[in-house]
Amino acid sequence: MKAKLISYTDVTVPTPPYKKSTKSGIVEDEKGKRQLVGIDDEHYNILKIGMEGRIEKRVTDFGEFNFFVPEIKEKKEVSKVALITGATRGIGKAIALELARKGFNIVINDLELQDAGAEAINEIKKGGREAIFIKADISKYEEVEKMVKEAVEKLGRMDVLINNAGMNIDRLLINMTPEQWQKVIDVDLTGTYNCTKAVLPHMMQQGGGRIVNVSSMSALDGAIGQANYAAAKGGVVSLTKTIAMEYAQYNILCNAIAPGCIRTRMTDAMPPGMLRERVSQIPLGRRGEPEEVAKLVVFLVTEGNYITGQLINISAGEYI
Amino acid sequence: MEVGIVSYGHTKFGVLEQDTPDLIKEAMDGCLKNVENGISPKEIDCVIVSCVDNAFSEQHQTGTLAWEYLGNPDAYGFKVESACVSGSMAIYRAKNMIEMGEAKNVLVVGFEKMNKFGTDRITEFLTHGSSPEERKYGITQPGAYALLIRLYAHKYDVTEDDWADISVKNHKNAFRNPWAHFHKDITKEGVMNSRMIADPIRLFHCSTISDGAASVLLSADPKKYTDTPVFIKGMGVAHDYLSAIERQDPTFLLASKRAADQAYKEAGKSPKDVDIVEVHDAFTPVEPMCYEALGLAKKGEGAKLVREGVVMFDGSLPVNVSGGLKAKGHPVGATHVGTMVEMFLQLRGEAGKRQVPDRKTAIIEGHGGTGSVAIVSILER
Repeated sequence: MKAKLISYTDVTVPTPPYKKSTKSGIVEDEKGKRQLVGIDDEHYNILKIGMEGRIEKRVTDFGEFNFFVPEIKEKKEVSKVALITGATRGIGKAIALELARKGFNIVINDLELQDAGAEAINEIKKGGREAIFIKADISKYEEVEKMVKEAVEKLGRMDVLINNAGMNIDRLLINMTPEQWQKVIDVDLTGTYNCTKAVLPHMMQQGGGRIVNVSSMSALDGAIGQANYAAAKGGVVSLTKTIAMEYAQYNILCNAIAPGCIRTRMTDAMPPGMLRERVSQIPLGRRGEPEEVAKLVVFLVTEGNYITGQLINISAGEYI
Repeated sequence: MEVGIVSYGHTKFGVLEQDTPDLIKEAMDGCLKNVENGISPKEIDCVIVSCVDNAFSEQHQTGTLAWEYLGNPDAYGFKVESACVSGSMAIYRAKNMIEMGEAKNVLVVGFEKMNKFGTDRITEFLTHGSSPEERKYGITQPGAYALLIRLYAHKYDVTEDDWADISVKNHKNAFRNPWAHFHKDITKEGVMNSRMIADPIRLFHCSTISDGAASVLLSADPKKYTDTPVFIKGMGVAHDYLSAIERQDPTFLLASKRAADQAYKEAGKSPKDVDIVEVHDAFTPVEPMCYEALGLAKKGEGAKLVREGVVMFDGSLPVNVSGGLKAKGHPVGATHVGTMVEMFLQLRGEAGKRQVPDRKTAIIEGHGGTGSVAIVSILER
């Protein structure tokens, strides 16, 4: 049945049985009779009063509803945007390249671009996607806010945030200075809060988003010499669960991953004996590759539409 | 016979420690104490309580509770509910009872204890006032208003700037009102950047979730109790469909217009006689629609009164000098007993810092739902 849109709204403070924002409208049919309709998230931002479309009957978990499906004359290709922190090398760089292969335009963030980051940008551009570098210290909210603003201004959207940037200063707790404690907390935990807070309004306004926080095996087991790092990464897991609960209603899904022993600068720097000992504890008997972690992140972002608030470990059985 | 208001009681509106019984008692005690020439409880025949949802207060039998506090064993008490205009409906009933000779003096007390629960639960309770179809689609009260307001703004070229100006105006007014929930200055920018609640309605367009109570005493012989009564010259009640989709013109508050027509007719007045106004700004973008329903502006031209400063505190026709539902607060059952108290004080020149000089004729517009029930009152000193 043909219909014309008269008005519409997005109720962002839902009431039971609804858990997420509900989009609805009033339409008028060819005989001038008005009725209420549901509206899909994907159509909301293109709605205009007077827009024509059809009414589609659908059965949902809450009963039978009429939905307004607008008539879209020219379908505009939308390129989604992903921001990856600490993405000039290692796991972050691998995630950036993998997301670009899946069609995302990419914002690479780090303290410095470095050669590897420039290579990643070139590779993404060669593949036909947009890529930009934005320098920002994620432990400072003002810099993060400026970065997100610049990203949205340049690439037009903000769909995915990968909180990957992290650091460690390993010492036994008794030898750890308050500054060393605080520095790691500021980057690994507060940085995750800062970036999430800055992107949320954009994701809410766009009708959804995906956030993946890179935690660590240390969050699950603790680690000798990593009191600051383990505490920060454990905090990231709790933060992940809270974000998932608070923003599911806005179609914003948030998960964490706990990579095991991955071939990065951090594990390359381990004394050879210690590395051998660690690898011997891994059932698959090898370090993981950053690209393997990137594939999990891409899955969560592109396919994991029914997964939120979870910590997924990717450790080849090191943690079972 | 002209029914007059002879006294009032009013608690602070806000997030209060007092529970339902305390609120009712405080407002009633105040009202009895404020009768200039004194009154014995035995002279009061009836006490009418207004409250929207006992689920908020977890207290039924509030009519009996009020009867206990009155202290006249021969009187009786009961509760009325009529959505956000429950208070006006209680006053309307009291006026009718006196006019019909059923009672000589009636005390009305409106209350609501809303802050026992979180915003989610309260939003859910308030949504019970929507039509079943709206509820099915998850359309809350702000959502239902949002559908009307978007259409109104599109039809009449009203902007977010206009809405923000109304929120700022009502907050400024509330500063002068010691009973107001908010004594908080807000900026236009702050309103326009506040969180979206139901697009295009933002947080700073929404009235507050408040606790509070207010009362008035109506009399068939007002001069016996005070030398300066305020007379209820006219009142009207009207309905429209619960769901806006059924209404003839969803951008016009027809029930408010019909109620106003009745009130003007009974009072022998017209919009040009009115010199002070309280309207139902449950969501500030709807305020211009209220002006239009009262005949104070032509259809679609309500926002002009804001742009031209007419409805500001120092304008020629101040609206919501109390701070309105937006900033004075909206303890739903008490709200329109509270607006009656405000106009009673304004017409007697007793409104303190918020007194608008030399006001003679006041009008109060209240509506429930998104305009499915409306009551308009005209008062004169």
